[in-house]
Amino acid sequence: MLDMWQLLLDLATAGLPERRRAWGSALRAELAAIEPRAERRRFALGGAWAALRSGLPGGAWMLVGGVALAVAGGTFAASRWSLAHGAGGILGFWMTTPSVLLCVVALVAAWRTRSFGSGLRTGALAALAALLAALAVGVPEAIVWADRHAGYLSTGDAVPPTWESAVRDVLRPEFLLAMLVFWTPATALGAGLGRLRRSGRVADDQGGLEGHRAR
Amino acid sequence: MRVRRPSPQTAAVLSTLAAAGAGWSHGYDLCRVLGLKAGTVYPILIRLAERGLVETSWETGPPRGRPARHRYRLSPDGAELARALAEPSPARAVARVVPRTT
Repeated sequence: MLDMWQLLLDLATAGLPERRRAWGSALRAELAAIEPRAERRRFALGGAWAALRSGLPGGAWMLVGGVALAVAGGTFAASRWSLAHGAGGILGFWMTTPSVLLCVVALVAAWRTRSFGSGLRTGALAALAALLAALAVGVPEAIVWADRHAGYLSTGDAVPPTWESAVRDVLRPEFLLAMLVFWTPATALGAGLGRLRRSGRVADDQGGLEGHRAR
Repeated sequence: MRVRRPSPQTAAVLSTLAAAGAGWSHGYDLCRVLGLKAGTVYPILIRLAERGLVETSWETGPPRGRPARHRYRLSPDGAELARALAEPSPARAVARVVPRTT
């Protein structure tokens, strides 16, 4: 039977920089020793988050921040443009533009480090940042759309009865999960393309927690 | 030089490892004892190990079918820092042991 939590941790710790590799093995070995299902889930999620942060190449936070800003700005621009032109919701923007950005970010990270794992981790973190940015702008924009009787922000196909309904539409868990799932192939593709680089200097494969460096 | 006390979580990890003395602890056990997530405990362990405050080793002779687990205990420097943190006037004590940490 597929062990989802072990798989998640395996993916999160894949291709960690050399100096972090033993810690990835430590996390995986520790998970293998845990039996209660709820504890396994809790440990795997925490371990994956630790690996995400620990295995980031230098400059990754800049890329992540750049994606968040671009998605936030793009969401606002797409929303206002659609409102002005009666072009319907901005679901198309949310599905396509972040995918392209995440592909590029994962490619750049993997290219610089020649590591698929580094590209994937940077892309995953950028995806979370993109989601938060989309929500940070999307929620107030959904209220604006409801106020102007322009429909739901995502699809624009019906006028929400209340502004709360408009906000709930943006915050639906299945909708958020679908966005992350939709962005995943592009992120993996970018990391894979970046890993094709075989020669040249590695920019910063030593990774390191940005926060740790700062301390 | 600016002196920074360890975060409460880091201090808790140090204190728990200090309580174990020369014995080894596992990461999951630390998470359980402290009620912290692995995403909090492991970055702390990584940082402490990289600063020479925590020693690590791999379990020998793990049960069949299970990989060896990573174990942790305080180094002499780590034990000294843990003792300093337990003193009544920790800021001054920590400053004596380590000039700058989190």
